[in-house]
Amino acid sequence: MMKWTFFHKLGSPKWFYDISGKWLPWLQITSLLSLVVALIWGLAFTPPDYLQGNSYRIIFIHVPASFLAQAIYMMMATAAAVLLIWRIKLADMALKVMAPIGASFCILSLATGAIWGQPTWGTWWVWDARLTSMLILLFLYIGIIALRGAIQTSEVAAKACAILSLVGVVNIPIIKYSVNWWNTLHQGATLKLTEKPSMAPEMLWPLLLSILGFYLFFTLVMFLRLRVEILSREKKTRWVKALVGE
Amino acid sequence: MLYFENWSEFLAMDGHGFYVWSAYAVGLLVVIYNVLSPMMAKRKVIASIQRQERLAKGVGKMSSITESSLLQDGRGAQ
Amino acid sequence: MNAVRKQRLILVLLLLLGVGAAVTLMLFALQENINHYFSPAQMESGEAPTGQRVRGGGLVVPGSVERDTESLQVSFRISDGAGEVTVLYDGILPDLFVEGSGIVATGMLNKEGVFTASEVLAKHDENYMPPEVQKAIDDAHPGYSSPSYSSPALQTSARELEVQQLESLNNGG
Repeated sequence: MMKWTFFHKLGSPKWFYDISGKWLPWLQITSLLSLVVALIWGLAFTPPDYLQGNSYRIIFIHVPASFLAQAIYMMMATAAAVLLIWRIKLADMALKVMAPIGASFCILSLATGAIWGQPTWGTWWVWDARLTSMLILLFLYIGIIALRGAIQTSEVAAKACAILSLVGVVNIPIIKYSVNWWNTLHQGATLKLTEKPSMAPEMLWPLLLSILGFYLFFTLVMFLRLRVEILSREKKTRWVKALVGE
Repeated sequence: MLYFENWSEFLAMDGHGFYVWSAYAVGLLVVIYNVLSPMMAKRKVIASIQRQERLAKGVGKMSSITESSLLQDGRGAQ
Repeated sequence: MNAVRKQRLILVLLLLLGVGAAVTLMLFALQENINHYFSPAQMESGEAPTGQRVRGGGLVVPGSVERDTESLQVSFRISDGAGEVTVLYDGILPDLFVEGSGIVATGMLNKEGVFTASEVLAKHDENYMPPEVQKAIDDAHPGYSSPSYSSPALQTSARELEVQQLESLNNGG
């Protein structure tokens, strides 16, 4: 009983608005600090790679962006399931605001990957399984955003976007295992869940810090967008009117 | 320890400067987009809520003063 | 969980399962088309089709690179530890084309077993380390080069070896 009450409180937009407001300053400071420190560290204070030289420094942006692009989609799929099963409208709001953020990081991953590919592989693009499935991820993001805009009724739009998110989630394991299942130009994972990372420690630490910074940044901007969405959807309520009140 | 002797070496990235810096530039653009977008959206929403409130108050005022005259004219508020 | 929500949960799970199954089947069916990729061993043994565009890759055999003095034509051999193939290419090779490193090439295999490539890309592995660490590994194991593509068995043992070296250097160095 207690658990369900908490769960339903979680779905209250006002509750989220109040709680998230308290976290904002902390998120701003930590994300800014970790990103700035990590990127300066990676750009100037790590040694060059034995094989790639200095071009490998793109990794400090490319890997976090790629992780985020996939993780955000997983969160969207989770919100979609919550929406469809429990009909919690905050889940729909989260689904809506995460899509453009995820799309932007997916673009960042593809762009930095292409830029990195040219001096290392010798090409900006190749249709191997890893790159192609990441491109499909971008199409899914764009599709979800477009679907939302195309459907007039908000309840129908919410359901349609949720279903599309869930259908597309099958792409995530494909992205992850593409480098194992097929012969791809893109190399295998440097950071692995169950094995030691195949990266020297002086390079690994700034990378991990950068990943942390990017995730904190995502949380910050997601909160910011969700709060605006809440204000918009709840604009007829007393608490919003009082908040905005002249 | 610093791995570059001076700024020009840092910018040149041993020949890979174009690639490294354009990648980081795209990163900066994505960060800026993600920061600006909610800020602009918030401004719009606040403005729209304030407009909504002004209109509601306006309707309230109008109806209390002119209600009787409007009913006589047959014209609606607004 | 009440009955309605349970029903919705089941529908969601069925949706996921259904799509997952459909995509898995599609991928298995398209395997041939997606791959089009043959190892040197396969090309040597005649498993790879001739006269059509395929992809192949392997480690550049040290000492096998021959460059034409007057043009950009180059020939080299690639190996996966089990077989070798000669590759002909006319063009600028990527920066990371290094003897002992991996490449992926697109082109055509002829009946004599020579692979004429229209595109040669450098493939690198997932290892990142400073030059002095790599040098220490080379000094400790002369003649052994860090493989970026090879048969899975060779790749795994090579990776294990490198991780070992990194560990021992970090502990001792």
